[in-house]
Amino acid sequence: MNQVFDIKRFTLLARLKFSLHKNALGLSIAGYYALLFIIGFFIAYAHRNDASASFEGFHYVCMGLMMILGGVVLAGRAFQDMNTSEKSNFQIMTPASNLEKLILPLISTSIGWLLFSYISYVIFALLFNGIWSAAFGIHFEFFAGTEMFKIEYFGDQVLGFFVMHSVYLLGSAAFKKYPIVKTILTQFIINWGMMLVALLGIIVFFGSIEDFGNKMDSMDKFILEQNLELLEQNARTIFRILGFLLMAALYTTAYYKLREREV
Amino acid sequence: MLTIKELEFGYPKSTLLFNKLDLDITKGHIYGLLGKNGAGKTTLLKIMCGLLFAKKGEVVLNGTDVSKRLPLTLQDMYLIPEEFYLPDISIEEYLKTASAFYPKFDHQQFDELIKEFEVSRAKSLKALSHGQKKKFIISFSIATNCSVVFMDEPTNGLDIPSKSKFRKIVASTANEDRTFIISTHQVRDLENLIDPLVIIEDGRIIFEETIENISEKLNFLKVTENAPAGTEVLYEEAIFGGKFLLTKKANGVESPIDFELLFNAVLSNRNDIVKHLKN
Repeated sequence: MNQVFDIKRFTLLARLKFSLHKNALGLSIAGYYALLFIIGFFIAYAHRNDASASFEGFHYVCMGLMMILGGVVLAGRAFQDMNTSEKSNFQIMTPASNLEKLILPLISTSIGWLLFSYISYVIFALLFNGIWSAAFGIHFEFFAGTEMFKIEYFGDQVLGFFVMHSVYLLGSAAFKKYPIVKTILTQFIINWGMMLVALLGIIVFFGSIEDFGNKMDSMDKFILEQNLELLEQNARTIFRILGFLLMAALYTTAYYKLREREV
Repeated sequence: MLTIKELEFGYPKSTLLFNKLDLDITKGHIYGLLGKNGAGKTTLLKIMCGLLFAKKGEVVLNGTDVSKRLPLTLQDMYLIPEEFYLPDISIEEYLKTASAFYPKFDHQQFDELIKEFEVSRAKSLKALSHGQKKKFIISFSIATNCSVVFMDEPTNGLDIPSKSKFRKIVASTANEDRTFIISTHQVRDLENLIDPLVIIEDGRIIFEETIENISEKLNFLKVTENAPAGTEVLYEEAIFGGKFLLTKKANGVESPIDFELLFNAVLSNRNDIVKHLKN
């Protein structure tokens, strides 16, 4: 049997984890939908007998919130199983490889969660629209959520989600207690540090922030005048490559952090 | 089977707990790992399981470094920590999901053990008392049929009948393919069970002897006044109305091993006792 990855062992681990977390996860999702349902009641009641009323916008916001925020929160809690010595014992001693113990939460809280939340939200929206339509006489369009895929630079949004996901998954692997709060604080400190470095760079290379602003304005003007679309595209490609590399680096670091965790 | 070579370990910001520690665990025994509180018993168990990493040296189980935490190694060892976690699911569900990781898991044996311990299978794990949870996890660990089962203070939280059942169960399930390593500071709970005996003090193995050797060379006596003539006393302990004595074996005198007396004796007069046992 392969000691790094084995599909049978991976399935057993998934079954065990699902069994351990199904109640908490089920309650959270049911709570979220119940909350939306109650909010929906007030909105629908306010628009009763209004044939032009629409919940499309509401659904897109709620579905997006569920998919993105839910995924990030789940990633931040991915190794909640290791937040005490007793739970760490159980997690580390479970006969699966370190890679399997990383990949399972990685996939389930990202791709798995995106798929699940998308499908479940579409079903929820169908029920939601049907019930409030029957109760208040509102006419609804069928909500399939597919418009979401048509937003500009959808791929970049997905990449952005995965970068955020990798940050919180690493936070979960690195911090034993309060991983989400500590990850946010760490991000805040890093951002401030980077901003300070950037400010120092501006002062060293451009003299002052005002000079830097002027130089940037003239560069924008130049790009606009020369119609350098290619430059913009290149910048986007570089952004994508950097995003991908950052994501890969963070997931890899999470793997090593997990491997080095002690009780 | 399990070898510790030149182990060095220390917690961050503190001195080394283990310095070049060596220990060879062989198959088919019930090792008793004794020591005072803070001697390093639990830490040693955790290092043996790969839960803590050594600074130097290695711990090898059946040829594999345990610190790699390979599934092959993990499915062949089971640890019952003193404080353990059991999820909030039913016994049946736990059995279904967790036992599948252990290829040698014996469901029939688990049923028998759980019956012997009088733990109800119908309940959820959360509904069990601490003692029942302990009995459940002991039964589970034995039913995994792992080559090595580590138990840290297994009798803590067990009532008197359960302690006796525990001894009976461990003794009856021990075989030449399986090793138990039991850490405890309650030596009386494990009397007539453990063999060999390992005593750890200040991060060092200060005593490692088989019960056969101890029985052959030492006597454990209780006297009201002085030691019988001709006996060579290695250690004595005053009690109300007399003394407990640890003496060199005298011809014809047989006495059961008093683990508590031996433990205290080793801690206070190790050199003479070890020297005598090695002769």
